[in-house]
Amino acid sequence: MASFGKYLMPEVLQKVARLDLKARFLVEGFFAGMHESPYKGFSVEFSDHRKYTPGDELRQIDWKVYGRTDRYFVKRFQAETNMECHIILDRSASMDYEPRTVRRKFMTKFEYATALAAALGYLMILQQDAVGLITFDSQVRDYVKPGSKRSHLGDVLALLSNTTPAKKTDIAGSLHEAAGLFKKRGLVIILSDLLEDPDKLERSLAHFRYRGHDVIVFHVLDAAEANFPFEGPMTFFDPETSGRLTVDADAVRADYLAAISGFVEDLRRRCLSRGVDYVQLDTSVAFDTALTSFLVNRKKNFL
Amino acid sequence: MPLTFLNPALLFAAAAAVIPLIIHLLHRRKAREDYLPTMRFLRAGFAANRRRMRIRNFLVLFLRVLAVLLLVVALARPAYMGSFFSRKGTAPVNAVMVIDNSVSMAYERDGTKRFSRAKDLIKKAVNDLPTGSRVGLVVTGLGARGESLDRDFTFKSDAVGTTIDALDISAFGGDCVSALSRAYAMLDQVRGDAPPGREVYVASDLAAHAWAASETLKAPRDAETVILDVDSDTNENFHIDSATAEWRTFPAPPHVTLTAAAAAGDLTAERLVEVSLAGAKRAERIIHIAADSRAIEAFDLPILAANGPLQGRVALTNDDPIRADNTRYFTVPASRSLLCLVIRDPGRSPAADAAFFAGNALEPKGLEGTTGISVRYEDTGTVSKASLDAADVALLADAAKVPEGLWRDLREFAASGKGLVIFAGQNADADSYAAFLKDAFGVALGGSAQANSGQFGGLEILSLDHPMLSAFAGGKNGNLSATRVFKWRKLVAAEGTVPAGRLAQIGGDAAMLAVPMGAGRCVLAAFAPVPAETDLPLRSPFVPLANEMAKYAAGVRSESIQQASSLDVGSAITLGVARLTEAAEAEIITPLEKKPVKVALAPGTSAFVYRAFFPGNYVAHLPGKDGVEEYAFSVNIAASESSPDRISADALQRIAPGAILAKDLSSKPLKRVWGKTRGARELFDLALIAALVVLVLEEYAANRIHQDVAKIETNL
Repeated sequence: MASFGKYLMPEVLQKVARLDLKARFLVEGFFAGMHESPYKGFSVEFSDHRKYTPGDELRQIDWKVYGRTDRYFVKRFQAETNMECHIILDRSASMDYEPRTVRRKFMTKFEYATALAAALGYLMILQQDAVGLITFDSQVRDYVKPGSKRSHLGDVLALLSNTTPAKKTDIAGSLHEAAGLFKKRGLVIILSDLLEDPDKLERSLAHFRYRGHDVIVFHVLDAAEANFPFEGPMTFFDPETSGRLTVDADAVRADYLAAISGFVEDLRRRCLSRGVDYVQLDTSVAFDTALTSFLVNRKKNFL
Repeated sequence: MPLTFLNPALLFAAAAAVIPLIIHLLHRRKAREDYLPTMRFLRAGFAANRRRMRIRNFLVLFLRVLAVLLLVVALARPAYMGSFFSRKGTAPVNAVMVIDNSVSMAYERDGTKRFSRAKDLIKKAVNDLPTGSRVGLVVTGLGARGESLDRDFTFKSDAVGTTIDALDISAFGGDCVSALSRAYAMLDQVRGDAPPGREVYVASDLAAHAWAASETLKAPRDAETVILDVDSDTNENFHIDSATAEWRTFPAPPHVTLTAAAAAGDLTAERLVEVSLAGAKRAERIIHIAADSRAIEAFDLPILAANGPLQGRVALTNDDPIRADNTRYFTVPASRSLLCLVIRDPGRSPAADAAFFAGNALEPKGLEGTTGISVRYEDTGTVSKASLDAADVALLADAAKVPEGLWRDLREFAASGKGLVIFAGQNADADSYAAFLKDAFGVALGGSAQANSGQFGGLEILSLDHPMLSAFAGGKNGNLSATRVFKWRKLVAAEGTVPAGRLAQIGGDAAMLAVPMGAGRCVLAAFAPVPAETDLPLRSPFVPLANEMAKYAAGVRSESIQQASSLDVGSAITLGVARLTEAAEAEIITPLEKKPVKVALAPGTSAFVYRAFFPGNYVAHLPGKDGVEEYAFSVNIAASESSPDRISADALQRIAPGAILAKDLSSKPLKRVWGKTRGARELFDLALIAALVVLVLEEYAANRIHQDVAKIETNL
């Protein structure tokens, strides 16, 4: 199983064609590298205690209760504690960005986000959580309602496989629209490049929080966007607005990097202020960063 | 315009400023196209960035162009003229400094060379020029490699001072008139924005050889000429003025007689003279040289034998300013055998001859080997005029009867400057001899001739003090012992002189008489001693007499060789060779070169000209009829330079009309313009420094652009 670890690297995983395999390899690779991980079995909500009977796992004994009562009690978890998790995937044109003048090395933002969404879905189903999927561009395009059956994972992966990037995008509007779709409080995972007005974005995230959702934002940027490897005179086009700009890449690199760094920091700060977990990724970052962030978030909120 | 350029032609190089521009344009690349979703962040800093980068790029381009322009400007030697630099209140001038560095400028007074004094005067003149003046330099002599030492105008007086400090005496050239003419030519070329005043300063000892010109120079309009006499007070000028040497065979052994003349200037001093011959030091002597005089010293240098000519030098050894003048080189011409014709009575037997010569020390057999004199015998009846013409010395050897025609020939022989020795011994017919002497020289023997103080008529009695006799007495070849010399002296002292009657009585007892004739030539007559009456030496000193004769006889030829073999520096000598049938090569061994100088000679050449530039001794190996012939000659600094006469003030005014003659700069009455002035300063160094600073700035600016980017990348 250890060989699955390599699939955490985006440049390796992009060679795997089938999304379900991608999801499986990612999750198994992730756990293969975490034998002694402290995060096992924490994804369900605590319900009550019952007396220990032989056959129960020792690790389920609540030692705190034993300390108080001198009796063995086993933690029990609610049958309906299955969490509803909504994965919201940005399928705008900017997510399909692929620089032409830089040697191709990594997957696109959309491929990266899709693989990550599949892995998260797989992980949820493994933990018997309900997983739903929403894709959007200028509005919500597809919606798979949450479900926790294994067969449901097939629906999610099928949608992910068949989704292609569209043209324009309206992240904030789409997120507001999505927030209105969720009946039940749950976990909302947003995968997007967040190229949107930060104020609008903040309000849309607040919308989720207002509805009682926990929110994780995976901010996915292309490696080229994050590092600006361009050199010499360049004419850039915006894939969504068709705007163009001719610059000396060497000369503007410093300002660009400063600007995008400021943008990321601004988003991080806004998310923090709204109680939203923010994880910044670019397509060169290994997937375990994202998965670990997710699990840390879960531990923090559910243990 | 306050800014002017000394090399304005170089300003055309300013066109090179387009090079950075062209490089800049060539480096502009075409933009590549790409998508960038995050273009909004690019747009945020784009405007400010583009403005800043444009400014920086323009700044770098500007600095590059500026650096090129500044370099060009620096090479064009800019000079700023304006009142800002002028402080003295006197208008700047164009001044040309002329320095005489001829040989005579090396003489010292009070421990200071004339040349040093000239340098100091010129440097002071340069320093005294108004601020902003332009200075040019003209040096009379050429450099060591024959190059001109003149220097064009500059505003940098300190640079001129440095050049002057580096100057030295030149053995080449030294024509002050030509130098002054060049100075005037420089001032004639002054144009445009140059300062208006024109001045020429000449520092010279006014030696006549350096001012030997009859032309009148035309000074530029308004130019003032100041001639600084660097040594007008004294003329301390000790030097060897001349040196002549000759080969002498008497007294034996053969030797070289050197006559050297040491000359003094205004002071009297004792100097050590050293003589070298054939590379070896042979004599030294302290001589006393009186002011304004020449001390003539003679040196006898015995030699064993020599093939060909001998060469040497005579020098003052202490403290004279220049060696070249201290030293004179000389060449001793090779001697040749002198022919002595012995005339005797006809029919004289060899035995009688032997007895005669044995009794009179003629030593005919060994004569040629020891004295260089060859002897031929003829009798009074057969001797011809042709025989006499071929001879250098004729000896009438106690002939009894002398034909009238022979007396006439002998008289002409003596009158032609050749040596005639008459021995009147026991066989001689006293009347006939006396008549000849009276007829030929107006001297009466045994008659009424008056004697007074050593003079016997027109004849001079050669006393023992005569160098010929005293040398003979001390010579190994002589048999005049000390005792006999004493007795001879005693006789002369007893008699006081030899009266005419006494001469007859003693039968010509050892009286040797000399008659001056014409240009130092003379006839000597000796009368053989009578053993019975005197204790005088039994052998008559024929050999010394013959040598004395030969000296006179050879005098003319010797002088001509001596003149030909002593040349002035820079003069040409014509060297004759056998008429060549095919190409040949002559070689000249000079005092400087280790290898001989080779001269290729074409067929048909019978002579070629060689010009000697260094004082010293030279030997030429020339193709001759019988193989290689050797010819030696000496080259000396011209006597006119080593003992200079001074040019008179009148003559100076004829050459440079209106020139101010001064001893120093204190009394120089120059008419300089006073009032509002414009100083000047040469800006070459400033322009160069500015160009370097700009280059450093450009480098800094270019680096700064890259550093900014690199730093931000590192932080991220």
